Amino acid sequence: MTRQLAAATVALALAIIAGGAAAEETYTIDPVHSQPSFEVRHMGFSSQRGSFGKATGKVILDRAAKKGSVDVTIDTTSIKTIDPRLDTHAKSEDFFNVAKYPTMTFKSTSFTFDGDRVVGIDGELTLLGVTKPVALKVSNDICGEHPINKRPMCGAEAVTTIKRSEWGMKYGIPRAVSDEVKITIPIEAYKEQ
Amino acid sequence: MKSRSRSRSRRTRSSRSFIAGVVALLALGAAAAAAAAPAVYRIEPEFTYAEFAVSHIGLSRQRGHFGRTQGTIVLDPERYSGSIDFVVDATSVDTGWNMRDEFLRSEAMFDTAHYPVIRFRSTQLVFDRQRLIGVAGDLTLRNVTRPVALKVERLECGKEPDSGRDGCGASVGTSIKRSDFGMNYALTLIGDDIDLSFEVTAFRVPSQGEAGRP
Repeated sequence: MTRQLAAATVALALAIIAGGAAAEETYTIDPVHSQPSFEVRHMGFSSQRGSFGKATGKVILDRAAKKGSVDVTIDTTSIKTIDPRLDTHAKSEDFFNVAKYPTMTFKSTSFTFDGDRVVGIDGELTLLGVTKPVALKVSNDICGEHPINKRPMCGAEAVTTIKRSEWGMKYGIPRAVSDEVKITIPIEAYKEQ
Repeated sequence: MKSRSRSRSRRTRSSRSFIAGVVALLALGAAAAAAAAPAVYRIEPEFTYAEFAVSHIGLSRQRGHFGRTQGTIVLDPERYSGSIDFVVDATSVDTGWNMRDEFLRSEAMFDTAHYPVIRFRSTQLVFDRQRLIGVAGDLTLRNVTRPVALKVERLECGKEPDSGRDGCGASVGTSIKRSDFGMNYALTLIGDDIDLSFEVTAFRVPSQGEAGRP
């Protein structure tokens, strides 16, 4: 009887652990549908926009435990603005210095949930060899399946505004190119099965 | 004038006042023309963004823009009038993914082989006092012309710090349904509602009287 009870307890414990593990889901970011874009002010009255074509990474989510983590690498050489001359300048030592720093990374430190939906991600952005905290505001965290390939996936949008001078990117501040950079990141990520 | 006229003949006096009158009228006319002259601005393509955003499979908002735009803006705030003619090269669609851009240029979407140009022409500018707040006009896309109301969210004018050129920057937005323009492909995957946002920079074209100034 005692043995049976012990076995049942172990089984229950295992089930709980299994259940806990099952609540943790891993998602792989779909790079072409997750291109971070940015906007800066230029010369007082106009704005300039651009984006990075290559962002890769994984999101681990445990909605029941309200925990998560994200690790994203952005290829700085994939920067694209409206004009190839601006792209060349953006890649130079004045801005992203892609020859020396071909990637920037974002690693989360904590997730904020509203119910079981992600509404915020705090983390650290490493850019130009400098690591500083960044808080992302997340909206429209929705999951479903891809209508064509039927794979389960989630989507969302993250926004933040940073001061690039904090990472030592100071060229053209304040008038030619603003210090404030508004960042918008669409996210689509496939669930690993 | 009064003290001088006493010693002058009647003829000289009337001739003088006639000239003075003409000069005054001309000066007034010129001043009025200068004040009321509509300012003409040419859009600077390198600093002008025509962006669209659309829901993708109900999970995310995807963005793209057109790399080549051109246009002319005429503003006459004192008369609450003006006009906007904005042309977008549909072939310059850019979403950061070549395969997707090819798809967007195809017959199913923008059909740029047949309709290489998207055009907006204003019918009426809307002012709040002398501030431009909206633009009503016609959008032509895939050879379908529909009325569209643009909201002017920001309009700042001044001199560009480096060049000293007179310019304006504006943020303008609206939403359309692509199905209104016959773009019906894959409406279940790619949303029908398209948010359009324009970041426009335009520089003033000197009027003829100003052209000779240094």
